[in-house]
Amino acid sequence: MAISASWGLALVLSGCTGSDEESLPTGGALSSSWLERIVKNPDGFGTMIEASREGWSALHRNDWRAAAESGGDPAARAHEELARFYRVLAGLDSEAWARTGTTWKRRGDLPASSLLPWLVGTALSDAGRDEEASMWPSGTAPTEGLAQRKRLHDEVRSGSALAAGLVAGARVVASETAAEGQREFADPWLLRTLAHTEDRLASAVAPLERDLFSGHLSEPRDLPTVAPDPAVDGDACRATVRDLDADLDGWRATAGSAASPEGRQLLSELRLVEGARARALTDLAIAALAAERPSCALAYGQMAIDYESPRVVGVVNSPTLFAVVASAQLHAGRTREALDAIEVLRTDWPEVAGLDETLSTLVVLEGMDRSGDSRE
Amino acid sequence: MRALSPLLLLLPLAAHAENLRYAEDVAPALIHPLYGSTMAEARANELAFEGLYTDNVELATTPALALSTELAADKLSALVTLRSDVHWHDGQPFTSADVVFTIKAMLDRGTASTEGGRVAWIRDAVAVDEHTVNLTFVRAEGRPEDKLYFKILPKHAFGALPLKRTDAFRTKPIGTGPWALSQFNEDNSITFNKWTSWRNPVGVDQITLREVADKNYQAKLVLYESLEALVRVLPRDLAILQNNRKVELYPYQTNSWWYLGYNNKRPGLSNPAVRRALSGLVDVDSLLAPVGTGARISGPFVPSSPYYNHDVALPEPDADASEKALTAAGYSRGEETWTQGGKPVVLTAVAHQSLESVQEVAINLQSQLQTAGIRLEVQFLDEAAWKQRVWRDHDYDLMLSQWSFDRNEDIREQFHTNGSRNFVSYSNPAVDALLDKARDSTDPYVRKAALRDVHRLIAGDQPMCFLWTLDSYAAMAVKVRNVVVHPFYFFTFAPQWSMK
Repeated sequence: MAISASWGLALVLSGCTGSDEESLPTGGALSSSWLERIVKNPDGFGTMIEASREGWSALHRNDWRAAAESGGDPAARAHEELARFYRVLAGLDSEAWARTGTTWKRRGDLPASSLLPWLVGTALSDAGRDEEASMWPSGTAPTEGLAQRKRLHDEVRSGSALAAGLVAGARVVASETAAEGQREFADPWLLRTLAHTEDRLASAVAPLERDLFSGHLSEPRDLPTVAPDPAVDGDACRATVRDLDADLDGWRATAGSAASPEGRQLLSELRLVEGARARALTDLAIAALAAERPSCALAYGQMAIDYESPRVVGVVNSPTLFAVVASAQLHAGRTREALDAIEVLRTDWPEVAGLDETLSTLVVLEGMDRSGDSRE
Repeated sequence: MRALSPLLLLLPLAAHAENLRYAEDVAPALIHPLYGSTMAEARANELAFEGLYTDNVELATTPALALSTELAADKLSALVTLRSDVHWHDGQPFTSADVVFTIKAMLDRGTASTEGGRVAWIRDAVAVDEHTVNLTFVRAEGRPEDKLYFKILPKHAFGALPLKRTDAFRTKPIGTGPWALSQFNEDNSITFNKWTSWRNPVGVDQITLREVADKNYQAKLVLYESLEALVRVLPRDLAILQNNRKVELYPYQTNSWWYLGYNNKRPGLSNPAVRRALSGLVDVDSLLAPVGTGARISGPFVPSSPYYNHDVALPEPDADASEKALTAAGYSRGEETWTQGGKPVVLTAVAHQSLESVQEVAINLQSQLQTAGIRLEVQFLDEAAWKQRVWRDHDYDLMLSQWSFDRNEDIREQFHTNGSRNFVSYSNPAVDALLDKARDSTDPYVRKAALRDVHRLIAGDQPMCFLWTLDSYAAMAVKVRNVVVHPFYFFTFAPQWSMK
């Protein structure tokens, strides 16, 4: 694996003789954060990552699969990140199934003999949305293929089978003939199964290793008071990002002037503040989604993205960030825009192919009666 | 009218307390919903005009000038009840006569509006009373309100049908929207004032569209607080704006893609093999590199579209294959250029002069084709010349342009043989049949599959060389609050915006 220039720097720094625990002006919310500990003690940082430098490097650039393969603390952290990523995607997937079913049913022409109603009920049931699931057919799988697929998922979730074979066939797990063509349906269980699997692999790690390259800052950030109007709610959440930015700017200024040259270099070369900011905003966006505040989640997600490389996963943009933005878009009624965020993941994460198809069908369904507009 | 120098633009205008100033590369020469063809015109129309229905912030259909729609049991007609509390910007009341007039004007072929397709599904419109219209449809409609988004015109501002592009209305528009046109200013800016009789509160008193032809200055104007909004940020300005604490970025989806269109009626270019060969001489990645961040496309949709066919590979430059194809089509490779019938191949490419980065792309394209032995003469056209040469006369060999689509990504007008925006004169009966199938199907899976097939067929026919889609971001001063940007029309939710 290639080592980035910034990590080369980090490794060089690990051999330097920077002074430990320099006196550093504190910056409020960040005064005891992992960021400050690194800047104060770059040698300690170098020593810590040396044990598993490939893994930490991968975690730093949000390459969780590589980090997971590396073993040790970075692997445990990567499994945690993957579990969270799949959980967000699984929530998005079940919501896409639910909206597809209800939108089509509302139109009045949902074919009674279609597999779709059973798949909608299954997706909702798997998500624990039992009340909604009860509105749809349930019980025995309507085809042997779906029954086999379900059994395989059950085995993977119980730990008696590996998840490896599930992804390849997930884009189409069932199909049926329609009046003018074929309907192909994606796997409604896959993303939740993957979340289960990653959860099992994640385990606790030591305190600094617990927080390194995370969005955990010294003081927990809370969502602002909810506003009933989506635009106002989004604006309120944008204001909290401005507050966070003011804190980060202040901390960076003081840390920058007081830290050792090595600490300053680490800070800028590894884009530590930018990465921590994006992760903190992603955490807030997930909290906002859980609180059913999609406009707020969207504000956090959109303000977290590194617009210099908006279609690339890297130090700032994590896969979960794109999953969160997609989920916020869908819950905000912007189904088409959700596909934009998923598109970033489509090539490197074949797991999202089925979700992409389900969302695509929903986009088409929502626009079924509309006439389009186009301009030069 | 004259344009101010960029330096003068940096001087703050006499600031109105609640004046939101935004930049367009070119100020619209007309504000008329039936004749606007650019995104800048669509945005201006969004300020001043309304449809019967519009999007709410969750992009669901919601009444605007209509109150409700009652669909007949056979779904072949509907009664639309209109609001009775709406007045045009000149104070006249809005009535059913305006709705009937607008639909008939759009249906009238003599009006020659490319918007006509948006009412082609309506057979007739009849005023039942002052505030009720009966619409009858060509075929059964499930949710007609989803199609009643087109802007309504005031009957009293026009004479007899058909309407003409040159009607005085184009510079003296009268709408019912939240802002009324105040004036076209000497510096090419356009001022809109809050329409005080609008039915809901409007947070921003005045909106000024400023023409800033040099896109390099637009970001500076925002940073110097001489603009409050940028509709589209240049990729190179993203970092500086993202790091500025007085400005925030808003990504939005326009489903836009660039293309190099071939005139499918021209000798030589009517042959798909020749078009494919020419496309094979274009190194799209090299053209895109200086333009900005974006993604290449292999067909008439952006990669995130439900209709994008990911099984169609992105074409790579292949000079050898192109050479074989051109030779098979009767062209000869001379020492420096390709010839046909003993004459060097010289193609004329046209481009709209206001298209962002177009000169850079065109010059690079010219260089690439020159190297491959094709001489390309490039002409940059202003709006009037573009409409004449491209829209009406189809007088070009190649055209460099872009299309922007709303979230329905309906490409029928661009690629159907009878499409009103099929400026490349493309025709393939199989594509027509699939476009018809997609339009008529009520099954989303069938529609999706049909349009993915359309992608495959069009990519094979290469009526145009498909280039790329660019990321779109708006920039907004932090003092503009409650901002939600509509992914296509931009200003749809602007009445809720406010200025701190």
